Amino acid sequence: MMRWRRAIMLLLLPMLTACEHPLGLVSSHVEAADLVVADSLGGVLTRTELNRTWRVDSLHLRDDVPLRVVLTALDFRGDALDLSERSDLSFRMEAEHAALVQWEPQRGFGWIRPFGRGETRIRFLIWHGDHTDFVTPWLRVIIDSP
Amino acid sequence: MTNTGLGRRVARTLTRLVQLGVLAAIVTACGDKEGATAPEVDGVTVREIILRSSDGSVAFSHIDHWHGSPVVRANGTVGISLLFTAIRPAPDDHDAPAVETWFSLADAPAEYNVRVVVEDTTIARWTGDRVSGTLHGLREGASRLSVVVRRGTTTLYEAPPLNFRVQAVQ
Repeated sequence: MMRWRRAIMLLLLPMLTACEHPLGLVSSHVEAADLVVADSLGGVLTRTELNRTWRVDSLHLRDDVPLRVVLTALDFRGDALDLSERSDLSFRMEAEHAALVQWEPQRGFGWIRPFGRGETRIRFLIWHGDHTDFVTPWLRVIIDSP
Repeated sequence: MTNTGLGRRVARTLTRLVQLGVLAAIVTACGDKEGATAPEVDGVTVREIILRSSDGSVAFSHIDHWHGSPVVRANGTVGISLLFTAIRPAPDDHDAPAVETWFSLADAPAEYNVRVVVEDTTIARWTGDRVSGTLHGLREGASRLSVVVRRGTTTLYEAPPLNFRVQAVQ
């Protein structure tokens, strides 16, 4: 009887865990607490505070001039998380008025590309395979004439 | 051999078979998740799309985003070739897919078609077929277009929306 129970348990195991944990090779989630948005020279443009608000509540762009930004996730102690070695993670950006700005990630940085004058809100995500590990609050983006 | 002994041997054999089955299930579980959204039908696999404009510029999709974008002038046009690749670069590999991997649907079976939809048709419109098309700039502004590859009425591939700009006439 014990053998049958063990066999049934073994049979149930992959049903319970398949896809989420095949072979247990699931990479760990990112335990990010905040995000820093810096320009290409390292100057901080803005950052989240307890991931509830932005220290500087808007980004100003010029139309047709893409903004190169470096995004850095911080842990709960405020230390930078090195995500560069994790090919299963990527930064994404969502915009409320998606026709106005587009995110183009590159290795180690990304471009926020404006496509016209106006105002919208964006937020950044840390994308982990097929789900989000971290989402920032919305951030105002104002695009002025070049 | 007693009935009890035979029963034990059968149980042991069945247990081993189940263990092997479990191992096989774990090894093969899930597999290529990307493949689920990029089915291979009749030998045509589309994982990314490349838009090659008549001005020489190239925009290409990369999983959830694009690199590059087409530009057209108001009251002007730009010709765009629709090219595809079966290669999906790694998420952190942002280089364009190798040119040798690009292909068009010119020689694909007739049921393959491409739909290009412009979100704001007061800004631009698209005319074309599954191989190439023309983006007509109507007025200054920005919009997005989506590209869908279908076999009959079945969607095989849908690119993320692509932003583009219609520039004012200088």
